[in-house]
Amino acid sequence: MAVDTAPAPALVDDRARARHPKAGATYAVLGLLLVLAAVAWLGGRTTVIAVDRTLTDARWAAPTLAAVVVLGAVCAAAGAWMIAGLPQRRFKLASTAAVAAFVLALLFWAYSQEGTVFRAESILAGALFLSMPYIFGALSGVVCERSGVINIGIEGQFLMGAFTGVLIANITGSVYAGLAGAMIAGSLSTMLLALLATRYQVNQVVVGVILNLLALGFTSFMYDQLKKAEGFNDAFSMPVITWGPLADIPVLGPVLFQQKLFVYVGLAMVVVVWFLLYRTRWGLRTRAVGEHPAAADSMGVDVNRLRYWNVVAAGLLAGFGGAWFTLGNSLAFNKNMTAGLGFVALAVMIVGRWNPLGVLAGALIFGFTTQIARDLSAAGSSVPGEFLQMLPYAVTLVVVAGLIGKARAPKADGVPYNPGDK
Amino acid sequence: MSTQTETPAAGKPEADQSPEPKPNFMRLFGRYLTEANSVMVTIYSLLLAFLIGAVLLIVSDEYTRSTFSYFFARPQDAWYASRDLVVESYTALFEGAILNFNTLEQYQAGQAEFGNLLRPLSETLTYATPLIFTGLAVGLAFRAGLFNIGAQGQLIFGMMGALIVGFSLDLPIWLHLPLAIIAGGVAGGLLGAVPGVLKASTGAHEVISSIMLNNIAALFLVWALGTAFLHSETKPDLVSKPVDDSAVLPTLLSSLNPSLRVNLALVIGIAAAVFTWWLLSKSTFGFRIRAVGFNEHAAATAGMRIGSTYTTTMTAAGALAGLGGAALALGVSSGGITTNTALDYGFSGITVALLGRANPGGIVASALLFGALKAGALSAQPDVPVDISTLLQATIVLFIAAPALVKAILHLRTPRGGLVTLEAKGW
Amino acid sequence: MRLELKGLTKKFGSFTADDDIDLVVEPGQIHAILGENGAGKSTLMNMLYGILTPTSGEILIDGEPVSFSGPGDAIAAGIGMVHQHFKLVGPFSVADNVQLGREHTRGLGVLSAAAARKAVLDVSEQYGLRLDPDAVCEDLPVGVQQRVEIVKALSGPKTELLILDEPTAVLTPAEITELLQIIRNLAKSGTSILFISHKLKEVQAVADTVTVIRRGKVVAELEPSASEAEMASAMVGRAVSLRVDKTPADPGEPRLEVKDLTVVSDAGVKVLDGLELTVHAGEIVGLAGVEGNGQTELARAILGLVKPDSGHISIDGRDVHGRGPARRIADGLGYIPEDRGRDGLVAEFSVAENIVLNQYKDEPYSKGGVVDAGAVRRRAVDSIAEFDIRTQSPEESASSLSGGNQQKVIIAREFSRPRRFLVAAQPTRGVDVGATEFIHSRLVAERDTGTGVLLISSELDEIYALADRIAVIYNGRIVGEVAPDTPREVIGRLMVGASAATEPARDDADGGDR
Repeated sequence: MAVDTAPAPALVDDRARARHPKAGATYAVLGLLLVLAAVAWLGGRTTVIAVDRTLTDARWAAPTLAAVVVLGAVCAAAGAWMIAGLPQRRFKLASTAAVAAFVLALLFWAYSQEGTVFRAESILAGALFLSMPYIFGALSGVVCERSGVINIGIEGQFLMGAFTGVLIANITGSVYAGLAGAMIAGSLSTMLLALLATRYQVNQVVVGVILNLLALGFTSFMYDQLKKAEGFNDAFSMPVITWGPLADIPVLGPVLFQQKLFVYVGLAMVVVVWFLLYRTRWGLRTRAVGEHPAAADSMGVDVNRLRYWNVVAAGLLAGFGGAWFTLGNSLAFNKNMTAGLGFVALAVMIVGRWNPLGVLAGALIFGFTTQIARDLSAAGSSVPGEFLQMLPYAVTLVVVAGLIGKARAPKADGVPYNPGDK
Repeated sequence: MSTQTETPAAGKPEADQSPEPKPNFMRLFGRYLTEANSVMVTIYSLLLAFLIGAVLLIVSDEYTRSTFSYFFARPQDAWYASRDLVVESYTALFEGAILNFNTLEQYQAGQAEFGNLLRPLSETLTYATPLIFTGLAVGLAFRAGLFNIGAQGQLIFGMMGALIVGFSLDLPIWLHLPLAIIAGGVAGGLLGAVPGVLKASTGAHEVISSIMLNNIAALFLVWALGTAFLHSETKPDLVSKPVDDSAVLPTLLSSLNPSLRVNLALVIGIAAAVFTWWLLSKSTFGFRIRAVGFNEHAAATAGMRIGSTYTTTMTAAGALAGLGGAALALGVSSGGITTNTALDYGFSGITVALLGRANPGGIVASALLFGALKAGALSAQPDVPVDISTLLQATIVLFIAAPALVKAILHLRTPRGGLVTLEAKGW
Repeated sequence: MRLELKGLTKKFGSFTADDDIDLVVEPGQIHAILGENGAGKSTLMNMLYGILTPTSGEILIDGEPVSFSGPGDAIAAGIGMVHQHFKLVGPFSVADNVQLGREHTRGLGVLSAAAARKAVLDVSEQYGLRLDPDAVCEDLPVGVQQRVEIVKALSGPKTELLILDEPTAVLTPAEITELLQIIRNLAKSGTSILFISHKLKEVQAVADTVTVIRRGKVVAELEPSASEAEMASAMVGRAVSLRVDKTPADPGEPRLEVKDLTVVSDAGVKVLDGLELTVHAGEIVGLAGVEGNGQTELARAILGLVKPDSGHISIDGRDVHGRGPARRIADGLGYIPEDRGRDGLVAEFSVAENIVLNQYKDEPYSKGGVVDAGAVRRRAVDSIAEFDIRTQSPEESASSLSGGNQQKVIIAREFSRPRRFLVAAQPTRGVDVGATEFIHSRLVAERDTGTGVLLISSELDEIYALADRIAVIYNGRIVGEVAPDTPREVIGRLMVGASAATEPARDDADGGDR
């Protein structure tokens, strides 16, 4: 077997050092700026952290200047390491550390204002709850895109779910029927995408954008029409599920064991989708179809059929996530109430690299920043909440720009498959 | 390419070969009507969308719905109720957008001035103006193979740029107004450049980065309006300072009637469309944009710089959207902009570009259509839900973007050369 | 399995890809199908494998007519296929690729990794095709990837007919030898083989019977003992000479000098590794080698699309470092890209626009940033006449032209402006015989005007016909430069990295994957 005597292609060792001057310089500059700014403005301030629910206001105060300087230094050091060259497999670690340090430093800074207290339990519990739409939306995106269909219409499926959820709950009087209705509405609206993407082979990005607009127009139109009559759009609330004594554990209790159904379903779905994707026949075929549809086709997998049903199933997830906006928050439907969160969910999917576990991490980060922004503007902080709200978007920009490693989409993502082509 | 293999129908070639007895005009015309070429797809898309709109009007109207509950007893009730509802609604849209029949009667009776008669048209043109700019912003990028979903943010930045120059400088009108307009273009161009630069340097997909920048721009506006620099000195709510008189776009028809709001921005918009057409079809830069848009690999092999094409195109697109922002800030909203001034002009720009098939002429035409829908819907509310304009817009372009769907619904024939769709690449 | 095709026909619109094909494959027989690119071989195989539905005619397996609605049906009927372009999911392991579509599960659709691994080992042991089931496919060398494909094809429930579609296109001569042996062994054990190729020597070496297809029709049934000339003329329809008339070269000053050129790919692989090459004025240097050994990157580096990680490239005596492709083209670099559809043409553009694609900014085609459509058209009209481009008009879109005429558009583009050095990568790939002869003669004429030509081709025959000097590339290096009369075997050894002088290493002990 002469073939094997040929030397393997000269792979560059992943332990070999590589330089990342662009990313490194960015982090180094950001870190140094933080240190300088802290020295200039933060002298004498303190950041107060409290455990507010179980231990009613146990407080700790930390010197802000020291914390921000240390974290800024960590960020700058990570940047310097990248400039100097570091083993390839350490790159992720270094960039994660740099970003985490930077964000933490901002937090310390933000909560150093007079009258602001970092109420750990409320904030973390709220953050987990707020990350739910991102989890459902992004998981829906994962199911679609892993099979090769770009779903940019998550926003629209959210709207359909939010609207239908509250409508069906009103008609039937049952919040659970509303949830089911939301899921069906979500999958009906993805069915259109599925049909167009598989049978009619249209451009999925363009159609996704249009479907968002269609959902916005449809729900707003119906909202105005139904508003004329009573009893179609009243708020329904869902109970908080409390896990007995577990709910009294400091920090963990309020965060994990006193939440609404959405949180438990969301966390379960992360595990379920991960298992399905990497451990089952469906997952193997889904990944194959998203990566190399012709290969799957040649092995007898019906590519477009699988894609179709994946997209429809993804709609169930997105629709359920849509119900979070109305039923989950005990709110009535309002025009455009999803306010672009579907696009954030899309970003979460990319930041999470099309992997359910990555999605969980991304969703938690984004939920956390949203919660902080709300909390700070409620506390009347002088740090503009708008900038904190921008943070998830900025982080996503950084991620897609490849400063934290390259996000690689499934190879055939967005490419219609026509079995006649080879 | 794929359209040929899609329908390997054996019947079709024979039909082509059989010599037609007399290729008279009516026969050819009939053939044209039943073919999924771009003109007919556009027409059928409009018809289908209005049909769907009618169905939604009927099912969502309480009274009409109630007549269907005894449909089998008195079907004519349901029929008349439905017909009246649809006719009334669409007439209301038409009257708000083109010509109000009441005003016409008054005018004929000598009770109204000619200017009153023009009011709906003026509103249509007013709403169409920003759409021309954002439509061009999306369309130009389309031609380079880029999906500029960020026109909304670019428009917001353009608004702010024009506003700042508009109230902070003290200059004569012949200098102040052009400067303020240019400032809008520059601000939009700067924001538009970001996705271009990111795509060129790191390969980041422009759709994702533009979405993020849209959100950032919207939040930035909220913040900026609250700062002392921008915030109105007289009003407590989130409104900006007004633009100086020397930077306000002059209205075109207010001498006829002060309510005719249409202003110079419309002329600038049409000029921008003409310029974009020239740029795309006559200039070497346009040659490069089109080559890169169709096949970046071949363009690169021919020595064209792909990255710089992306950057320049996105900057130019952003500048166009920014000009649209300037048209708002110096025009209808010169008294002060709010977070609502931008409406959904940027996103609608996507639909305008799609319906106009990324051709400047088509973009102007579809901007007029969607401007008319908007003007009509705004004047017809609350009798007709105002969002019918969004709904119709989205439905129309859904069909435009999926000609195969129209073809399948209406059983049209495949035209020579296949179906025409717009492409934006996946990530 | 006995396979019989009766009157199999496939039409795409008005184009008939396969017309009334009759064919019989006896059990355990190696049946070669010989035909040029575009003769209809792949369409035929795709019908056999259920990817395409025949327009008319029937397929009989052991006398029973069958109809396949998809590859799944074909697999179930006992047909396995090794595709010309590998159908492997890159990031998947070997085991996952092999089990795709017939997964080993523990019930409820949950995968069993152990069973999948064992299944691969069983099959690879049974046929002596050693594989590591856990290796990730995209990291494997092509030869091993093909072995994965064969194991995949043999892992069907009862594979009795194996279709191999151009299986040797990306293999080294040694790998080809090994593959042919595998095929013989499979046939001996009773598997029927359909072997599709356009390479005469392989067909002669392995086939029991040969069917020649031209323009979708069966034109000849031959014995493998038939002469090469006989097969070739059946394939192309007339007697062809692969010889091109040319005088001995008269090399002048160096036009291309490549020194110590190294390029590392995104994946971290050194695709060019200290490559050295010189091409002089007035000579054609043929770059021989198995595809994927750095030819593509070398051509792109010369054009300036790939930035070297180290080393120098000089064109016409000037170091081109820091000059972009546009500047190099303007300075007289001609470039015929290997992938016409991807790199050569903008399919939606007109023939005229394509002809000026890399000169649109120059006078007279544009002035002051404005394209002069009249000048572009005049130039196109001239080129269409000079290069015999069959098109209805200069405004016709390039996509409506045949492959040969598309290639002529590129040739016209590159040959109608002053040039000092020409890179011609796979200049006749997918081009009919007439156009090939035309292109060959133009290349020689080009040389005779004093241009330096680097001919990159995976067809040794083309290299022999045109080259004044042959350089062999292997693993990103030039491993030998030889005269054009060097025997095939010597070049073949160089192409696998063995030295020209000694026998190639035949090390059967070292199977499997590293």
